[in-house]
Amino acid sequence: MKAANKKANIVIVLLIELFGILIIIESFKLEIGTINNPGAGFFPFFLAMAMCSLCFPVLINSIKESDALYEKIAQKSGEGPFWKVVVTLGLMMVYAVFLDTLGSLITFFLLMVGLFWIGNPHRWRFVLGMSALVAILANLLFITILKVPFPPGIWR
Amino acid sequence: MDFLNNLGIGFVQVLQPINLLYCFIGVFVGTLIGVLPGIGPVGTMSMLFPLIIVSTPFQGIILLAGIYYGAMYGGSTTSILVNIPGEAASVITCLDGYQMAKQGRAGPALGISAIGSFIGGTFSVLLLSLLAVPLAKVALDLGPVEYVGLMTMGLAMTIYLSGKSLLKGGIMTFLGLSLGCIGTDLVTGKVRLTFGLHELYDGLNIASMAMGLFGISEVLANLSLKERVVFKTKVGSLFPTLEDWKKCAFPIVRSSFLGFFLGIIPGGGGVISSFVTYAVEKKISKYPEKFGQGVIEGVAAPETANNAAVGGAFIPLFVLGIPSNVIMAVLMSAFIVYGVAPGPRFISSNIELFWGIIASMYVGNIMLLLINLPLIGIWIKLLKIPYSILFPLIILFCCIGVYSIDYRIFDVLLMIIFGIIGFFLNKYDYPLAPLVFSFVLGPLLEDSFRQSLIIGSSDLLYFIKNPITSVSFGISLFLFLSAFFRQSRKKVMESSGFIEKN
Repeated sequence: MKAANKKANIVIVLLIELFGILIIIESFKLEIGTINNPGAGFFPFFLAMAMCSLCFPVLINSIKESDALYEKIAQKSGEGPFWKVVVTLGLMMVYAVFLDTLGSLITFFLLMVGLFWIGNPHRWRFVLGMSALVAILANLLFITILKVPFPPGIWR
Repeated sequence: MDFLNNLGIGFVQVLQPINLLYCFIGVFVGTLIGVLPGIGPVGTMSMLFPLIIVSTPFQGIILLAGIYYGAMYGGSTTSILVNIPGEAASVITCLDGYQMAKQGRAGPALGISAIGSFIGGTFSVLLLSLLAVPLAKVALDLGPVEYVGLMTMGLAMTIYLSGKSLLKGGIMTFLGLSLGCIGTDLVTGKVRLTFGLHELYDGLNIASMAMGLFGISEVLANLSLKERVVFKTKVGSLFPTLEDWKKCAFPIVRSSFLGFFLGIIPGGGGVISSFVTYAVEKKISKYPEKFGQGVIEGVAAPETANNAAVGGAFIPLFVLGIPSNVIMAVLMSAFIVYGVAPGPRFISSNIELFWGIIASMYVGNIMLLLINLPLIGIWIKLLKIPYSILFPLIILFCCIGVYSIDYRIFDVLLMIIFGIIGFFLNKYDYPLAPLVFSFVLGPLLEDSFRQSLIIGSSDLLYFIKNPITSVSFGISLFLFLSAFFRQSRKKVMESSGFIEKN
């Protein structure tokens, strides 16, 4: 866990650094210009430079940090079941991908089934009943009353 | 006389039944999310964007403002009964509030918290209504160069107050400013940093970002935590005793003033004001050693201050068009959605809207007192709802809310990505508030910076020659240096073993 946390911390800094470098490259393509005549890339270029410069000391600190700190990070995150986080994100991605094809009612229902199941894995009746109720009420509120144009999906 | 006339115009608007309903929904939802840990006002305000799209600007803004000050009220309930702050501004209330509950004095703690919040909130709205108009007249004389200085100071203050690491705060600020550059550059017409995604031509959607960073990431973080346990105690009478009143009268007055002015400071708001007023009361108390053991002043002061800060936080937005904290940044986005530009001319060109918002805050504070004291039993019952039932609803509302703004699935995906980013950044102590705050300020800062360069004939010394800007830069530099020395001293202390490393 400690090693994983340390690696993750380093990866985060590196990703920010990489994003900064991408902005710098993009700024050059956009034309940086001069102080007398700043181009579209002027502002992003200097922001990215500042961001990348600040990333270096953080990266060095992350590498040098003692294991005790990562132990604390592990405690802070509760050592809880990480699978819940992964499944929740997966369900949301599935929701986003199938919203257009299946429509709001079915995707709301499926999303709710998955999410309620995470917290109540042995109460299938409750999960299905609650999911159906929430999906219908959400449809009623947002589509019928507030007129949000959700994709009709299979009822197109 | 003008003041009373204008306030009258505001009250006429807000007292219309439909507007009262919006005000009520705002304060009710605000209290609800304040009571329920796991989602804060930023995420909720973004989630309710679909509701504001179908409403008038006045209705939408009073609803969002209601969520802000409602959350400040509600946050204390969980701090007192569960020892978990419902809202960041109520963290300090846990210290004495929970101890009071353990001693069987939950009722007076909840009561003084609601009454202090009412007094602080109403007082700050009064100051806001008295100060905003004259300050806006002064702000009309400010040009882009002064704006660069003020915004830089705001960003510096946010970094300074944001967390343990100055460097991480700085990275988040520059990241937010860079993300603010995404989209079409209005000066050159060139498309910037979209990396080929045409969905980004209009820039990143603030709601996707805020909901991801403050809604989804919070849910993900909470998923790995244990279910909270509600402290089982009889709440009893909510009204403090005469002795309690004597102890709390001056702390409430002091915290109302202090909270309001701390709310004006960029990067400040409810969190800072509650911490500072608690520290002040402890410092001047005759029995500082009892703070943290259940003294009622330790509840009254921070709860008054975090509500007083709300009125203060509106000053920079209404007067300068610069948000003072991340909640105000989201509120500013709502103004922009309606095509209303906050700034020095906002009050004079939107008299009805401005005074209507002010009047709604007076009314909202009364509503909050009414729904917080007699309905405390309902809020306590709500606290018992398991998180396994709450979090699917929060996620569904986020997914629906973000889609409803532009009807794009891309925004849902963006929200999920920001949720993941927020989860990891939060885990490794990268502060999220400067990221969103600087994202909103970025385009304004760039615009003012470019205008200043044109006015000052590209002379960088032009910034230093301006007194307001040079003072702002000076304060920013002072903040960075003081934070740098504070952290260096801490590292030396840690390495020499005087204090424990964290």
